[in-house]
Amino acid sequence: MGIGLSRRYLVVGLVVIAVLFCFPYYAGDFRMNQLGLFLCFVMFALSLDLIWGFTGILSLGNAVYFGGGAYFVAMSLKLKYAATNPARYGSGIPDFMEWNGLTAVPVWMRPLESIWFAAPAGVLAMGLLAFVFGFITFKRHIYGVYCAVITLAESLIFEELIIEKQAYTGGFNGITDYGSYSSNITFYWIILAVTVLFFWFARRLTTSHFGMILQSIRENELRSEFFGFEVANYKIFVFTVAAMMSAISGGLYAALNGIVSHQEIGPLLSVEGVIWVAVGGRGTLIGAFVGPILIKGAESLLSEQFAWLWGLLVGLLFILVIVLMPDGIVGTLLRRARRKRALAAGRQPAYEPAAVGVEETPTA
Amino acid sequence: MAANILEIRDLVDVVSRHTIIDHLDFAIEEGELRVLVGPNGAGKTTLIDLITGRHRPTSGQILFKGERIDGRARHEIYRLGISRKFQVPTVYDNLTVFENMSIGLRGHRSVFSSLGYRITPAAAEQIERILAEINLLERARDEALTLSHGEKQWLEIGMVVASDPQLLLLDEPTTGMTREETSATARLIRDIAKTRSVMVVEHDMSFVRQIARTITVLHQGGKLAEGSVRDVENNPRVAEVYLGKAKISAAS
Repeated sequence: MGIGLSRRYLVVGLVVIAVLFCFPYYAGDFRMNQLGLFLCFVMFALSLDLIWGFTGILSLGNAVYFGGGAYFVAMSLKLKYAATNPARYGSGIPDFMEWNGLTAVPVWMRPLESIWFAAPAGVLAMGLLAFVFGFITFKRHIYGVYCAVITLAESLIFEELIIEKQAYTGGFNGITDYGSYSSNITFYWIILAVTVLFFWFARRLTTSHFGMILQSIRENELRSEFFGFEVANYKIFVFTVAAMMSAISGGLYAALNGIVSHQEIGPLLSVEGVIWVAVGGRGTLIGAFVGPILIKGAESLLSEQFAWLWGLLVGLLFILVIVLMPDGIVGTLLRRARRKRALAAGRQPAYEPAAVGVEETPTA
Repeated sequence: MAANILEIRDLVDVVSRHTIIDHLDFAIEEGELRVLVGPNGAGKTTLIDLITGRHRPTSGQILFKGERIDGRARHEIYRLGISRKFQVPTVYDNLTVFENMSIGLRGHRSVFSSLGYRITPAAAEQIERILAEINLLERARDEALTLSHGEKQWLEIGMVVASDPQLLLLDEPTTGMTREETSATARLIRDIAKTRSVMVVEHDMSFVRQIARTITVLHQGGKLAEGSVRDVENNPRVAEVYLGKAKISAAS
């Protein structure tokens, strides 16, 4: 974690961006859409990396904010679509509302008809939710496994809520058929641009003095408290920022995917995100890029080739990486490079890797 | 007589029916270097925990410069000017030595003031000056986990010095150090104590003799004796507590 951006890092970054930018020209619509979705997962993983990888908060409920952002956007597009396609939606309201006995869009939902209101409102709402949730959790000094459990409960509650309130959420089937932005190269580029922006932001944040404070909290929050930091406030801040990033990536995901369901808000995606970050390398920003691209990419290629085997293979890959590289792929490579540098400088690199998932509790 | 920087009044701490601190009274004067000794379980570390707000005492008062601080939040107590060093060297393993020091440096504690903060050249210079004093300047860019046990002790001392406290609490700062390192630490602490009040908890009597002016002996949560090194070493009650050994020095 050097200070400033090294030239090599910058060059590799620019090459990756260029490849991703040109990707639609040689890959076709199907792969472009796929990669667009993966980039949304990358942004989601990045937000999780900020709170888990850098600050040490293991959240199993981060998908609440991703899914929340996604539902705001999907709902907005659906309302618009239903109102402007009388051939398919005679009554002008979404099908799931009609099935559940509603005759008109509820008044409180009307503002969502405009995407320019709904998208930012979703992000702000998720920020607010995360702030309140974070305030309750972190001000009460809930950390480690307890924090994981309480965020998991948060995820379950919202998933249940989405399934139960089907007149307003589409229930178990989710929201579909709202005219997505798939196969739209401009939209793909927008997603790519937001991804790059997120990386730039995360890089700025984590290499700044503020980022050092976050990492000090991850390493030993008790020590930081005795250095005069009100640790809870830092956690609330980063939790809220990460939630808003998740909501943005969720919104883009919904617009591209054309369908959102309770899975995007529940524990499934939350846990998947944790796996991506762990495999890529928590506490490394590149890991948040490598993890989801590798796993989702492998998943999609393998599922095309070996329909029944892919889940097994992805699981195996996960176990192998965790056992062989507890720091994740990128984390381990960075370690090796640093070790080599230390040896070259004639120093003894003392390093014992800690197992992933072992939450360090404050010592002393 | 100088004013008291720290005053403990009738302090009691009971943890799950065990009395750890038992009606303790004592005070440290402004600018003093005080050493706290006592057998295991005497309540030394607990006392530091109580002063720095790790938990709330059962009863009694803790005053810092005449102001009550018992029961206040950890970060507030730090901001009043009290820093502590843990018994087990507690540094941030995956940050570099320099980054560790930058966390220790006083100032910019709130979320929004630290967001925009960048290390100024003056601050970097100050960090480097302290690193030179603790012999870690050459290791500034190395991760703290590559340091030896003794070096980690020094790094943490450096960090708390960088936090510029008025009262510094050091919990067994020489554990795991060689004789030479211990002597160097003694010099360092005497240096630090020139400009601020310091309370050191220590077992190693040879080290205590190198730095001590006044010693307070804790036993079973209360004050057993207080005085100069010689007074304390010749105190029969102290000798008795240290398991019948003729002198306290044998307990090191």
